[in-house]
Amino acid sequence: MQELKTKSKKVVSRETGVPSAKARLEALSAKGREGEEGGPEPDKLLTFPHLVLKEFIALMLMSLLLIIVSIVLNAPLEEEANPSKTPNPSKAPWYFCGLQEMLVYFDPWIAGVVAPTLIIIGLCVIPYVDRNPRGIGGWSGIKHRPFAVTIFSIGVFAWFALIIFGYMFRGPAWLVYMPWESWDVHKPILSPGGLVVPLYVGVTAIAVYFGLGMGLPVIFVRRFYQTLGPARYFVTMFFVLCMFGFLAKIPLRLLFSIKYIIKTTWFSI
Amino acid sequence: MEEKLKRAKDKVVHTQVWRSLFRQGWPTTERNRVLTTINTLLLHLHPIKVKTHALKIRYTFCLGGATLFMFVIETITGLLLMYYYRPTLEYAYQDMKDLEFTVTFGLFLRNMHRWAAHLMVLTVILHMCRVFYTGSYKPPREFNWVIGVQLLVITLLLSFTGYLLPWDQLAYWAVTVGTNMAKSTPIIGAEGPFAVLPANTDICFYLRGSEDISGNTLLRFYVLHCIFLPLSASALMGVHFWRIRKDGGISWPL
Amino acid sequence: MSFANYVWFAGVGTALVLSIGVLFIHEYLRVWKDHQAIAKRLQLKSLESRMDALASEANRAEGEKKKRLEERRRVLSMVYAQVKASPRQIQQIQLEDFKKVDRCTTCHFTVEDKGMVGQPQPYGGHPGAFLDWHEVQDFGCTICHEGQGLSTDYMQAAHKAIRIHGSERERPWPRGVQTKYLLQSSCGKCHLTKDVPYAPLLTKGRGLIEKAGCYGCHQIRLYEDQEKIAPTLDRLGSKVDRTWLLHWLNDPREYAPATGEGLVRSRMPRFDLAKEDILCLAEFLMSSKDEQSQEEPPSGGNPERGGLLFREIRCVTCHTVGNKGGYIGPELEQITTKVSRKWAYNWLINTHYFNPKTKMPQFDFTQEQAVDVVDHLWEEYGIDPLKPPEGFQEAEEALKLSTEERLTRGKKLFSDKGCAGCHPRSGTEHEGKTGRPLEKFAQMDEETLDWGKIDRFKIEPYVGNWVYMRLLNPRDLAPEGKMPHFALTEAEAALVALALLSDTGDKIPPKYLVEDKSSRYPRPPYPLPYGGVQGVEAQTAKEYPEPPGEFGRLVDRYRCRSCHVVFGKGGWVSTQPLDMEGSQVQEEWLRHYFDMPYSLRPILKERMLNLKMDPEEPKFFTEFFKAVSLDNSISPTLGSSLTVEEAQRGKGLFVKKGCRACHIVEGRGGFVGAALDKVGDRLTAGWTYAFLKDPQRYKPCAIQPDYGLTDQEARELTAYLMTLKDKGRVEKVSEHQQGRGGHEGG
Repeated sequence: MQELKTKSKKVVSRETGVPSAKARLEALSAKGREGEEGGPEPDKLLTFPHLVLKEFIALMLMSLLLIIVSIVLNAPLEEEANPSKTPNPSKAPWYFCGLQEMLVYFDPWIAGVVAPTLIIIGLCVIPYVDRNPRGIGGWSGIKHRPFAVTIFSIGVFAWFALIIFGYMFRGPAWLVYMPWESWDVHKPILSPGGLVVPLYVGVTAIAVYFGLGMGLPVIFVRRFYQTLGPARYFVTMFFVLCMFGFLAKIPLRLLFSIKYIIKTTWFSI
Repeated sequence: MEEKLKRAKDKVVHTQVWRSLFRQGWPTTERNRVLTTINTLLLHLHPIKVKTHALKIRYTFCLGGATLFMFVIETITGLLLMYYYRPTLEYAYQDMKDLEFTVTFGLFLRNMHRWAAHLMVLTVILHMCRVFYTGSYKPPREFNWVIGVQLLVITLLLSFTGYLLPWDQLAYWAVTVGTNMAKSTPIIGAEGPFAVLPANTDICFYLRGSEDISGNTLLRFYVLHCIFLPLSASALMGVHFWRIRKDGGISWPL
Repeated sequence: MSFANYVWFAGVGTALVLSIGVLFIHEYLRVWKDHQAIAKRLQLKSLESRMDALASEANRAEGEKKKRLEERRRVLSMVYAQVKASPRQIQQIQLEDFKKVDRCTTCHFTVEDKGMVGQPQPYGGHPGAFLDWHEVQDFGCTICHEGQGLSTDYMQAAHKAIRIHGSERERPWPRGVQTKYLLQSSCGKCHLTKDVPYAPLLTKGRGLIEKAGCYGCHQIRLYEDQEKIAPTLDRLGSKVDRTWLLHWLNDPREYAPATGEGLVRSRMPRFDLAKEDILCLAEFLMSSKDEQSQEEPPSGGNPERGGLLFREIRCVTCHTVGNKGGYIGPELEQITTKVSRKWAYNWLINTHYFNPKTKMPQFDFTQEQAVDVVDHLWEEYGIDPLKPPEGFQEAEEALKLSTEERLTRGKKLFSDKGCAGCHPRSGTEHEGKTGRPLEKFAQMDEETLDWGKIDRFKIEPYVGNWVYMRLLNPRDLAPEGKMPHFALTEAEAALVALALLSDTGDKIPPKYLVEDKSSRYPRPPYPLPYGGVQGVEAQTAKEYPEPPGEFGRLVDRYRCRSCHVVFGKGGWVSTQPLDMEGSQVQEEWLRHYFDMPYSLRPILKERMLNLKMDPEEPKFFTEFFKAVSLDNSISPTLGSSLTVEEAQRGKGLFVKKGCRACHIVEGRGGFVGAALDKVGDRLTAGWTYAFLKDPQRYKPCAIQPDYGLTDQEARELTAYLMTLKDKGRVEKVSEHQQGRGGHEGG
């Protein structure tokens, strides 16, 4: 044991403290990229064995976890598919349960098509609209980029909250059932509420929402607008407002039982 | 005795076969360690040296690596499962049962495949969060983030297409619910706003290969699950890893 | 590299290696391997002891017997070697026709070994002889026992009908292993006959469905083309008393309460209608009148003569009086509260006019006789007129609807409640079947059933339980439902549930089906009599021909088919189908029988009606039977070839076979079979011979065992039986035979 300890110490001291390694490292590193990163070169260590060992430990940990879980828990397999026997409720896989939960609040074309599309596009544009150069490489993000972190956190939180609610708190007829509650308990189907906002009010409300959402920061948080520039600003605000718009429909539906904000013969929101 | 062992080792190490397999000596010297990284296929994805802070587990939590490992496990277990599975209405479900009750390690393989799939979806989302919170998508890594988002989508699709294959009630109705959404796509879905296509030519029909989930859907999802999506994922992953190296390795604080 | 990393590496690595070890052990230790090993061990042990027993028996035995025992021992030792050498592996039975694979025999390894019967499960052999008729290789296990045959694991094989409450409804098999109480419902998957051999519960359940007339409202397999079971409601207004009708609609069981539990009497269920609804429905029903066709009965009947006639024609064969009698017709003790004297008189005179489908024969009463019978009933059973049921007086007064409105509401109730499912009534022929179709009943999804206020934690949410509770007390599950309340006992409800569950909707290959829809008993194994139809095997009741001509008219008039099978169709009240009557009995006996019918079995009451026929009619019947109702496989001339020696040997055989255990001969014997005292006067020799050779072929429901008699033995027994004659009549008969050429009798 004593031997092992000294040996390991020797390895560490030999490889971290040798100045010639540092010089070689500088020679090996891509000098051209120094300007891009703009910072000083950090300390470096050999991939083998430092990184490889850690990766190998992680790999073994994951394997261990998987093997234990696979021995203990069996993958579900129900009755053979029977198109004439619809289970109540039929739930999507857990990662889509958030979208299924959105079906309570929106028509399927929004919850199932528009929302996921916007989420994917929104995720893709993040690096192109985020001009903030700070907060790279560390977990202290909220200090340096409060806006980006807040918005992203709200989005991720809402996504998982919807998934958890849809997956665990919904029972037959998509009614609310606590996870410990039996689905056999008969629940009255609450009136879903069919309040439809008059068309002109709805269109006005949405126009005002987007107008104010776009406009107010331009006036009051001038520096934010100036940093981003008009194109980036509008793209950012479009996605941010869409996200809050989606989430805002939930209390509208639950508290005021508003079914549609805009209802036309072709589509309804 | 020690001498003898050393001599025997040297004999083995100096054979032509050994030297053709391992180009460098034991990774005890710095030179040999560098060469090990360069010469090994899996390790050469890494740079020769990595930043010390990137070695901190609490920085990356190894989420990207875990996702890759899940993908590898899915590939291996999936390949083995393919020996026992026939994507037809007649056999699909029965093959699941045979797998469970008669194939040695059959149930274990399926469990592993299933749980690794769920875990992969989870790790890929967590990996995305990690990258966001550490600001690792910022220039020059913007495009790699976009590829990462594509990989997330492909992972979800892989899991979703695999969901149908057992052909049980869970599979059938989860996929029904999932693909029903496509029906309401604006314009090209039969039940969406401004629908122009009837139910037998809309986007959902092309997804399922029929108006309802059927044997066509099963075959379609099988091919997607086993060939198209894994190949796409592999290709994108190649780009993803290559971009990491090209963009200066893992991000570090300025 | 920090030391912690090495610790992690070592720790995780060790754990991983251990977990892989656990994985291999886990995979190796599958339960079925143990079971099969134990089963094999037990079987080998049992085989050894059986072989030892045979060997020691063979040592004691001599000659032929010794050889036989040694042969049996040799077979067992072959089995022993086979079992010993068989590798431990998953056993499976593949059923190509069913597209099924059963792996039950992996653990139930010894199921086919009869020497293992009684061993603890899963090592026991299959009890009973069922596997002799249903070869394991052809039927597998799960066709009868249900459960998941693919499984090699106890829980997954669905031995216990586990249903997990709450969100986890993981149940990867359609049906769990049948309990012994419901097992017979599986017989009904393939046996599509109303009478299933060796499945008494199923047979009873199917009989109850028929009796209760469930098919009036529900679509039920096997009962697709049934006639409506209840009497016509046409002319009801001039038949029944309105107050009686109110009672009847309010609670039918109140009318005939004393006849025991269950579906014995009053097949009419209770509908739990509101008083207003009953009043409206009664109004609607009473609106169908027919006063013209009824004439006033003459006064001055003689009740005593009527009573005599009542007993003489054996009305109690069909009607119950004083808790005794048959169940075919209505109970007569309270008849005076139900119908008017006028109706009763007209009914007797003109029975088939008032209900063309009744099972009652059209008697040939004179007016005086009819009045006598009616007056007898009124004197014997006359009760004070009924008072309306409780609360109806007030409801009547409170009901502020015009007659028109009442009729409309009553008519709507009539169709809503599905009255037309059981009762014919002109104008409602298209109605009926208001209930949920019960085809593929066992497949019904529990989730779609209405469980009402039942606490589903206390009761297994299983479709069988649902129908059981629904039958016992329909209002518990659906307070607003249409299902009426039948007077079923708990046992009867369970049997009906069992019979309904036999319709699983599984695809059964045709060669496994045992089908026949013609009658309660399997299709008559004999070719049908009469002309062109002879030899044609009719598949459904509809294909059987109507009796032709004058014979047909008489069969219809006397409603022979209410009790007897005639031309393949009819009731089984009597176990005597009439299609072979000519081959079976002697002409002389038959003619006398019509004059004074009697019971052949001493323990049974006389049931054959004295139809008081016109003297020409028995003669016609006898001639028709002798000329047409013949079975070609029965020799008409056998009697003349029998010898006295044969009869003597037959007498010995009769004693040897122990026939007297069931039959009475010379005043002594058992009461199970028909008395054989005068059988030589009654049966033909040809029939007796043929019946002895193969009893069930000629009488499907006969309990006479097939003794496997040789031709000679059967001849000898026949010869003996033909000598059993009424001593007083011998002279007469022989005279008669001389006149006819004497080829009958013995």
